[in-house]
Amino acid sequence: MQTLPLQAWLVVAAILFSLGLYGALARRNAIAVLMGLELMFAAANLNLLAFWRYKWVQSLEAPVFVTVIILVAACETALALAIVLGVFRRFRNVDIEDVGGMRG
Amino acid sequence: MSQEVALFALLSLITLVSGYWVVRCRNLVHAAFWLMPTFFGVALLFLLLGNELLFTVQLLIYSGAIPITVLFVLMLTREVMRPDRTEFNRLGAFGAAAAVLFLGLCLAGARTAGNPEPPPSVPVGLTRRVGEAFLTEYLLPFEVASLMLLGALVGAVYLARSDKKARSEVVGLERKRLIDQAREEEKSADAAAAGMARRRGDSV
Repeated sequence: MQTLPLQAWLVVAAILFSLGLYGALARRNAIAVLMGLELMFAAANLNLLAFWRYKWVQSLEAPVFVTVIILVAACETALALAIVLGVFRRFRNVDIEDVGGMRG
Repeated sequence: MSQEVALFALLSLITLVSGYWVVRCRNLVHAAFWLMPTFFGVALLFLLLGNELLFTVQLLIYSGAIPITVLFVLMLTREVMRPDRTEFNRLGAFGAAAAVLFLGLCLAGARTAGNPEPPPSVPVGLTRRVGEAFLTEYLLPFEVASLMLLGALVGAVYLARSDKKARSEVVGLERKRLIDQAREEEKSADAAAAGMARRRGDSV
């Protein structure tokens, strides 16, 4: 691990997060937006674990925190996909531009 | 030590290239399949960081369960994929600009992270210690998380259950369409038979 600087991990996580952000902001299909969110979660976890390995390897906070994040993200995905299915039943469409039934 | 660098470069390449295809693929089924190598790469990066527990969790949940769930929902909403329209919304350019801006911000932040010397190895028995911590020091988050999983399960079933009234309307419409179609076919078959009979009568 000595030859690998911390910045390398941070750069990879930053690129992955930006890809996810682009997917979440730019795609039209709601399921594709969710896939972008998943990429962002993975990048955040990668960042947390990189800092854990380089600075706080004795502490247990980071592994516990990442486990809880993964759990919350899984719950969020399940609920969001259920909502997407409900929207599909109601509108026969999951396009975030066409589904404007709750527009204020 | 240079083996680690090569492994890291390879895994990052796999992760980022498949992550790019998750975002860019027109066909969402392909994008969902690209999620698997992305999360597999992330899981192996966790292993390279020395955390076997989260490697396993990431592999099971992210590389396995989540793409499957996404594929299920994609199959259930399949007819909405429109090959004739662009896959990006009208704010797509702003999304790209925001992502690039964010990337620049992150890279600027990463430069100030310093260069801490990592400890030579992770402590032995990390998984066991995390498990014990979940049952002692972090018992409350553990219980709250289990309740949240239960709530999410019930909520997802409630949200995704088939609405009987709406479904019976759809089924009724479909049945009416099929009956109309059958009547049309019967009528045209009758007409054809009558025409054939007339022609036969003419020839005799």
